[in-house]
Parts: sequence; C-alpha cells; structure tokens
Amino acid sequence: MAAGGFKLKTLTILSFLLIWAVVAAAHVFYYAVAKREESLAETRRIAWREAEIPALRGKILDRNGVPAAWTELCHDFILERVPESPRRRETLRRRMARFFSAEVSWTAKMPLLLKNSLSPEEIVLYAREFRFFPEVRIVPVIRRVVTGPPEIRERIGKTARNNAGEIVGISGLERKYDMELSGRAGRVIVMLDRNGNWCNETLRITRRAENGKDITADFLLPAGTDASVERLENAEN
Amino acid sequence: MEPVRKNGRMHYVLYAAILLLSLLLLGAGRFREDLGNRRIRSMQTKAACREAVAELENGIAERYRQSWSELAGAEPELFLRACSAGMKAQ
Amino acid sequence: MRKIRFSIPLGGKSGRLLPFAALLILTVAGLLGCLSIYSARAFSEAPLVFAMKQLVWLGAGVAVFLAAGLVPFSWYRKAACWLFLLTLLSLFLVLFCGVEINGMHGWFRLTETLSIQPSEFGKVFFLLWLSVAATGSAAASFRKTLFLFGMSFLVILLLMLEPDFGGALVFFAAFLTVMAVSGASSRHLAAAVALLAVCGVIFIALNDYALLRILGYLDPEGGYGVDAWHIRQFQYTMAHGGWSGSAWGNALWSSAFLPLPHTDSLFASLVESTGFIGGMIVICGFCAMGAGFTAMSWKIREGAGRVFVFGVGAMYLVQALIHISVNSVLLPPTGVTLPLLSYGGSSLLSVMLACGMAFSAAKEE
Repeated sequence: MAAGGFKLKTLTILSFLLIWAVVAAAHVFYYAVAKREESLAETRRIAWREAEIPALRGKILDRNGVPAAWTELCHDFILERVPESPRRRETLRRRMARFFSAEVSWTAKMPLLLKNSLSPEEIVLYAREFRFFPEVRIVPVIRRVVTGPPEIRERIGKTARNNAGEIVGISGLERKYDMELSGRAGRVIVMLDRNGNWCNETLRITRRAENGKDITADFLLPAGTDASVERLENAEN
Repeated sequence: MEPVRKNGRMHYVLYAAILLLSLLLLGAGRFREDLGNRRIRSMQTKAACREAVAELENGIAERYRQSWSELAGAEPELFLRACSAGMKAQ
Repeated sequence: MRKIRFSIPLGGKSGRLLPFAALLILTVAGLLGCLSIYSARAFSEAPLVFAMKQLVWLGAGVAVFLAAGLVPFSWYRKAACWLFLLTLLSLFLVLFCGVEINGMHGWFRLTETLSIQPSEFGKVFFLLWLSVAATGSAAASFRKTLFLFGMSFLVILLLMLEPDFGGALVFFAAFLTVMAVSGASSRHLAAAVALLAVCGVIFIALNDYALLRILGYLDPEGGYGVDAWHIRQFQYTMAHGGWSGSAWGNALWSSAFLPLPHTDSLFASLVESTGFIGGMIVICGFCAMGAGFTAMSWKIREGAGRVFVFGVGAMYLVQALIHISVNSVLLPPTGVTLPLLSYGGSSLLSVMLACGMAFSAAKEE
C-alpha cells in the first residue's frame, strides 16, 4: 500500500480514538466535577456514622466503701441478619463452624446470639476472623449488678432504659441520686468500609464519655452476700 | 533523509513528554499530608481511643481486666468499636 | 563483526536518542503506576505489597524492552507463525490447567506467588502474526480476510471461554486495526464486525454474569447486585477527586469501597488521588503514546513492520480507552487493566515487550 494511503488510514483510526478519548474525558469531568456534590452527599449517607461510647453508671457503695451496685460491661457475638446469597451463607457457615459446635439455623429469629460474655481474646479473634462479614457483630451489653440482702436491694432500687436508650434510676437510691450516678455518653464519628468495618484513619472522638460519680450510702453490707445481675439490654444493638 | 529541523522538533516533543510525566509524579495531586504527618495523626487517634477504652475498664469483669488492659492498649480502635453502639448515619 | 545498534533511522542525534527517551517515558509511566497502586491500597493492611511487586516487574520490564529492541525484526517476522501457535496453545491449555482469579480462568500458576496470564503476551504475538500475515505476498482478498478472521475468531472464542470479555475486545480491536491499515475491504471488515456483534449478543444472553453487567450498567440504581454497585462506586470514587484530587496515598473511598482498585479500577482510584486534572494528564499521555507510535510507523516504508508499530500504539490506546471508559461509566465493566499503570506482571512485561519489538521494527529500516 502506498505511504499516502497508509497515513490516511492510520490518521482516520487515530482520529476516531482521539474522539473516544474526548468523550471519556467528558465523562470523567461529569462525575469528578459536575455531579460531585450530589455524589459526596450520597457517600456521606452510605458510609459515615456517628456512634455512642457508653458511660459507666456510678457505683453505690456502703459505709465502708464496699460496692453494693455497679455497672458491668460485657460483649456478645450476634448474627444480625442472614446473608443474602446462598454462596455467602455457605462461606459464613463454614467460618462459624470453626468456632461454634452448634449448627446455625438461618430460619431462626434474628438477631441470634452466638456467644455471650466474650473474653478480650475472643473479641480480638472474632473481630479479625469475621471482618469480611458485616452480618455478624460484637455488641456491648451493659449489666447493672446489685448485691446484698433484699432490704438493701430495695433501698438501692432499680434502673431501666428511657426512650433515648439511657439508663435511669426508677426507684430507691438509683432514682434519688440519678443525676450524680448518670454519666454522659461520648460520641465518635467514623467512616465504614463496604464490610461495615471502621476505617480507623477517619475516626474522630467528638465528645469524651464521662462516667457517673460513685455515691456512698448509709447502709452496711453484711459479709458473704451474693450479687445478682439485672441485665439491661442495649436499646439499639 | 528527513530534514534536520524536523528531527530537532521531535527532540523537544519527547523531552516535553518526559517533563509532563515527571510533573505528574511530583504534583498532579496536592500533597496535603506527607507520610510522617499521617503517622502522627494515627498515633494521636490511637492515644485518644486508648483513653476512651481505659475509662471503661472499671466495668469489665475482674477476671478479664488484665487481658483487657493489655489487648485494648495494643488495639484500642478495635475495642472502642466493640464498646460502641447506636450507629447513626451522619 | 556487525555492530549492534539501538537507534532509529531518523537521522542525527534523534535517531540514537529516541529509544532511550521512550524507555525513560515508559519507566516514568511505570513508576507512576507503582505510585497509583500504592495510593489505591494505602489504607489496606499491606499497602506496599502490590506496589513493590510492580516495581520489581518494572525493572524486569526495562530489561525486556532493551532485549526485545536488540533482536532484529526479521527474526520476529520469521517466528511470528510459531509465536501465534504458542498463543493458541496456551489459551487452550489455560482453560484446563489454569487457575481462576477474580472469576476468570486465565492464569497459569507457576509458583505460590507467581502466575502468568498468557492472553497478555498473546496480544503481542497475535498482533505480530496478524501484521505479517496481512501484509504477506498475497494481495488483500476475501479468502485472505476470511482466513485471518477465522483465526482471530478462534483466539477470541478461547478468550470468551475464560471468560475474558475485555481481553476479547482488545484482540478484536487489534484485528480491525491491522486489517484496516493493510488494505482489507471495508465491506469485509463491516461483515466481520457484524458477525462478531451477533456472537457477542449470543454470548451475553447465554452468560448470566455478562447479562448482569450490562443490566447493572444500564440501571446502576437498580438491584442488579454487585455490578450495579460497582458502577456506583466508580461514580463515588471520582467524586472524591474533584478538580485536583485528595492527594497521593489518600484515596480513602477507593480503598474502602472500590473493588480491585489496583487493577480493573485503577483509573477511578487515580482520579480520586489526582483529580480531574490528573485523569486528563493520563488520558493525554495515552493519546500521545498512540500518536507517537503512529508517527513512528510513518517512517517505515513498507511491510509488516509499519503495520505492527501502528498496531502496538493503537491496540494499547484502545485498551487504555476501554479501561478509562469503564471507570468513567461510559462502558459496562469488562475487566480490562490500564496498560503500564495497573498492577500485573504479565501486563507490564508484555507492554514493554511490544514496545521493544516496535522499536526493533523501526530500527530495521
């Protein structure tokens, strides 16, 4: 083929490719610049979360400073929802079989408790092993522990959660000194990745949690009394 | 044989291309933070998380307290996440 | 004793400097690729792993470029047929002996950490064979076009079976380019395009994964699963870039949400780091590469050499444009990497090989 013919054909093909490049560049401009604000608002909705750091309710101590009521923080491992695809269900089932002997039923009511009162080692282990499965979560559980004979427990009183999910005293000393015993929950802002894991680089503690103050009551706990646990479920696990 | 002046232009085109690519490497994006600053910020975040998690140590059962203290010190973000609840969209 | 020269007959100093200037550009582009790969993985658990591996491949690629440039193009011309047969054989064997990575059965696992993708080298050898066969002694005719189309169709079919739809597109673009510049009738080419379009439609209809990709592309807000979600992530990732990007190493969204940010989605991640301006520089760079190879092909008088040189520029420009188009939501996802920049040893080495061979063709003049 003559050089002129070859040049013309190559220029034609190159021109077509350059036009394609221009169209692609226009698309890049549209998504990177023109539609930017709308997309960023959507990403904020998808990925950014504000979470609460719990505050420990103060202790109620007897005259000698022995705790009669205190707050315990423990952790449960739960299955929040069933994975959508059968392949993912199978992958999760095989992963769970490595740690739990009982077979998980996908038709059981969710959220399903897999294990309660995790040790710190288990928290680290499950957080790592299941980091690609947002269907399972480690959740904090707040328990109010009360000790002493029945008359002292009655004096101490009971607690419950209000509509905002905060622990409030509803009777006895718990109610009387509710202001002093209540702490203030902290706040943290973080971006989640597609597996629901925290992107630690984006973590910002916007308000530090303040634990409640301890109060000293005028009763005396007899020696060798048993503690009982009143479990207060977290409102928004 | 090509005239010399056309070959001279080819020279400049090539070197311009090299310069352009080098500029891209150096500053097509903005260098807002170098790696050192990011490491410092990461350490500060870790320290803040460590403090937040330490506040909750009194609520941990006695038998777990020591291991909590050690592990939470090493991975405070993980433990802060385990203790957090009520995730709301921003 | 014959002196080995690595220079292009442009006359004067330019001829001697051109290959080395090109090598410098390719190396700088490769380093940019390493930086982009690091940025895409900056917030992962091992951010430097892929970038360091790519750096090693870049070093090997420089050696491949120099070695390929020193081999006379006449040797490549003689070996073209064997290299094409090797391509066919490897694409056939990979379907049975290869491993599946990212849903594609297209790699030979050599060791625990080393795999080779035969289709990447296949692009170069296929282009070489096609350039030699299309510019052979026989004049362009329907029979010749039909034969070349038949062989190309066989290669494309083997790729579709992996399935590597994106790779098949690139191979088809190479076929069209070579046939167009070597004098094939435009009617014959139009018939080839129509036939492949029909095969493409049948393939999509028979393969759920391909159909979902098309549907996800047409309706990203719909519930077409992973593919629609992937397309939305391209949009969100580029939005985080804006005009000038969030800085190298700060591609947070692509690290957290974008699938395969170091390979199939590298351009979107690069736009997040460097913004629209950085993306434009990359697009212009690839266009300049295509133009450069075109200009180089004009200096070659006749034969397979000039078709091959133009073909290299056009083929990799097409591949880059497919990748950029997918990342900018102009095309549905196809799994095509960005030449020189995306992570992948086979891809990088094959591009360097192709460039070295192109300079060998230009030197032969």
